[in-house]
Amino acid sequence: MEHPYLVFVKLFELIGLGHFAHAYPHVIHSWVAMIILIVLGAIGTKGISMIPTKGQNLLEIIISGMEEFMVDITGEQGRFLLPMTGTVFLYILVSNLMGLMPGLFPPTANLNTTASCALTVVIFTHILGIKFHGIKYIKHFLGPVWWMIPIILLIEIIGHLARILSLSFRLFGNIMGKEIILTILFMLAGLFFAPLPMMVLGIFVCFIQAFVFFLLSIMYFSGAMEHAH
Amino acid sequence: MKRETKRSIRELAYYSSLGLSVALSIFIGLAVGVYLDRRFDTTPWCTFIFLGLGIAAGYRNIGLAIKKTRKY
Amino acid sequence: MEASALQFFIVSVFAAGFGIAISAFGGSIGMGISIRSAVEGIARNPESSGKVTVTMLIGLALIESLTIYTLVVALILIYAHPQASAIAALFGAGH
Repeated sequence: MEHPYLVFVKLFELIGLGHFAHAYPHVIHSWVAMIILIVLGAIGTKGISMIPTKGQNLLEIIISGMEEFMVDITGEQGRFLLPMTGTVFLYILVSNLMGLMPGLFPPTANLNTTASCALTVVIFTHILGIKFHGIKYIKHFLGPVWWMIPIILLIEIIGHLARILSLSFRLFGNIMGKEIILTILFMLAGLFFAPLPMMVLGIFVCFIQAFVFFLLSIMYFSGAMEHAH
Repeated sequence: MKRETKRSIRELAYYSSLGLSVALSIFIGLAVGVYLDRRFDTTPWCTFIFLGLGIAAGYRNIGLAIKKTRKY
Repeated sequence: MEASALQFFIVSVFAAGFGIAISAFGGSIGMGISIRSAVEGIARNPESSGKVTVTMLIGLALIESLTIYTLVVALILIYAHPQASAIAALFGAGH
């Protein structure tokens, strides 16, 4: 697809890394999302104190809201999961919202970024399962009877591959569709502000998709932790 | 947010992902079968076997969801 | 050769578009019927709303999966047809 004018790709061209920037714009823009998150975190926690100031207050509201929501689903034993799920939520939210700014490209509109997030989440569920149940976790994949082991094992593997694909394809499809609609409307009637109502819907889609990814990863984690009962 | 709202949001997210995972597991099975057939030159058999396994995996997802509703 | 391969591509895109349209038509009618029945059931007996809602959501997921089959088939037809080159060669040999 022919990309419109991208600011950071032009910036990399000035340095002399133009061929890399043109081949992988999603990598560069995910670096931009990381830099935004790190800078916001550094500003918010600079003067950390018991009586919070403005920036610290905002960050505390966001983090504690996510923590409450997560503990409500997983129970008290899942409180240590907050760094993982919170990072996934904030990263996907910032990268989705970057698409609304002209001159930036959302990294989640490429299948590689979303598939990496989904792979991390699904592999981490198995690590959690082994950590909570020990070697008995493999028994869940083998079924009740010994001669059914190959069938049940293949079915389970296909089911877990479907989790990865459904997580990554939903996010990728929604953000990519929004980008294509915005580009087409901008080319057709950009002078008359035609993409403006679509952008309002786009903010909604960005929040919903980041939230759905967060929620489904929490549900997979809680399923792996209480698999035994 | 109230507790009731939270629960309904959770259920909505879970069941809206159910249809996608059912459809995708069948196509994963089909893709694995086609790949194995091309690799080992056993033309129709691997495709049928893995298509059947994929359909079974999709319906197992539905079964897990129904089991989840019984819990509440 | 070139023209027949292009013709095959055009036919694939037409089939993908019409397939999505027809499957969305049927799926939306089925979803409408099931949602209407669920709403009527909840209106008659409001205490059963939780169970009726969950059952309706499972049914909607099944109907939705049928439409997603068509979506995946359409994507395969447009982007990654497994025998595209062989069929194009067949068209070229016939003409």
